[in-house]
Amino acid sequence: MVGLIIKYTIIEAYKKHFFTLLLSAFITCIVLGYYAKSISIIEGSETFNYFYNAAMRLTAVFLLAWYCIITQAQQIEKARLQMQMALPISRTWFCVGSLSAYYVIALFIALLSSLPFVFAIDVDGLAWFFSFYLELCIVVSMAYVLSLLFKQATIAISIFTLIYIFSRNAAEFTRHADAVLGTESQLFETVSLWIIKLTALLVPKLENYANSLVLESGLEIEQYLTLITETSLYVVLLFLIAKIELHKKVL
Amino acid sequence: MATTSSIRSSIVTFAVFCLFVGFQYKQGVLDHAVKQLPPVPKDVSVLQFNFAEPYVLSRALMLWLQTFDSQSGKIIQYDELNYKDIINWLTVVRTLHPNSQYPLLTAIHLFTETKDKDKVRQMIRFVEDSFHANPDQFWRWQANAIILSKHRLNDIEYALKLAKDLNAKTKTSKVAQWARDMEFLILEDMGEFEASALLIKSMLDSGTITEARELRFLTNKLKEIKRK
Repeated sequence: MVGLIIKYTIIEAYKKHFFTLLLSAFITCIVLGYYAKSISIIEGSETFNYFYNAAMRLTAVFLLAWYCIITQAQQIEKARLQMQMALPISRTWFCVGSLSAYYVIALFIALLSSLPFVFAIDVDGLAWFFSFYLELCIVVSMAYVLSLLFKQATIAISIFTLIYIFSRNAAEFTRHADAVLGTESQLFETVSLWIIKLTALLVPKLENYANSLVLESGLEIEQYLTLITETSLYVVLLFLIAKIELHKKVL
Repeated sequence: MATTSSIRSSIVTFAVFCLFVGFQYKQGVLDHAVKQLPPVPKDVSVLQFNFAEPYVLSRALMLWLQTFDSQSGKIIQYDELNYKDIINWLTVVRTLHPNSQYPLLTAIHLFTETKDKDKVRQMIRFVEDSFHANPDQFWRWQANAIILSKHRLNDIEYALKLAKDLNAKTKTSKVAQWARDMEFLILEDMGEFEASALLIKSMLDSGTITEARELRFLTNKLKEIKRK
């Protein structure tokens, strides 16, 4: 049953031209990288790597997340989710199937995005692919949960975007908050900064995932293990929240 | 025959066109004044909010800086820019990506394309500061700085100081021999033949030079200086 959910989710993505859009984005990012490389005087291949990495990472994350949110919101709006809940499958396995389908799509995206690094010299393409795939798993789980929590796609997309931007700069926000909290500040400022610190504690540290630093210096074994542990914890937590939401929706 | 709606559409189109032209004029499209570089933000830490991509930000800033001479359909001379701002931005780029050669290459080859010797000196000082921060990484730009200060600034004492720093602060294995040779060549040009000869002798005696052509060059050079 889980296999069927995965199969039909991927077919649906294909029919909605998601993969065509992804391929167009991939080609655009390659072109952007080559343009930046052509105007740089020195370190051309590094320039390509940095620009391509940043562009492809942002594009893929938002494409996948927004697709997940919009698809789930449509299913809720057209009462298709209720129809699927009527099938002889437990909520847990339904959730597993839905999320697994998106993880399979994420794997495809990560593989496609890593192609330019396969033949590149002095880059750790494998570390980048691995950390990018883990990041996409977290991102799509977050998107799935947000789409179940907020029935409106616009609200879910906005909240997702805010959380993602915050997660990419969490360390800087925390550092800034610590610096300001050490000085005399007003009550409103203090409360806001503590909220920032608490939020930074709760969101995944996406700055540690696929970026130019990972591309250049790779990952140590401990870093691999940290990423796997962090991703597993978030994915399990988000899966449990999604399961609870699905149960509520049935009621 | 023109109908009321087509006349109305033409008026609206013309009004939007006028708005567009006015907006472009406000933007300074016809303005021939040179746009100066914006100053670096007072709180530089704001640049740390870079989505965990400091290398991308540094490269984007570098591309922006190097193409700043191309403005609104005109190409300006680097002379017309404020070099203090250029150095501040190059320092920001270097902070974001400490091991990149890009800021130093543009400093030594691009922004020294000016007749103003003071500006050339400013760029050489920037390269010198960067070299002191990371000698093994940036020795080749220090070598370029030595050549510039000797031949462009005609400041042989400064060139000698830079050459001495290059030899003192770097490990022998990391630096090409031609860069290390600059010190005794400058001493020879200054007429300091004894000092030059002593330097060559110490190089030969150190045993670090193994290449036959280099050994031959140094030996012949030593004989030539001794004859002087």
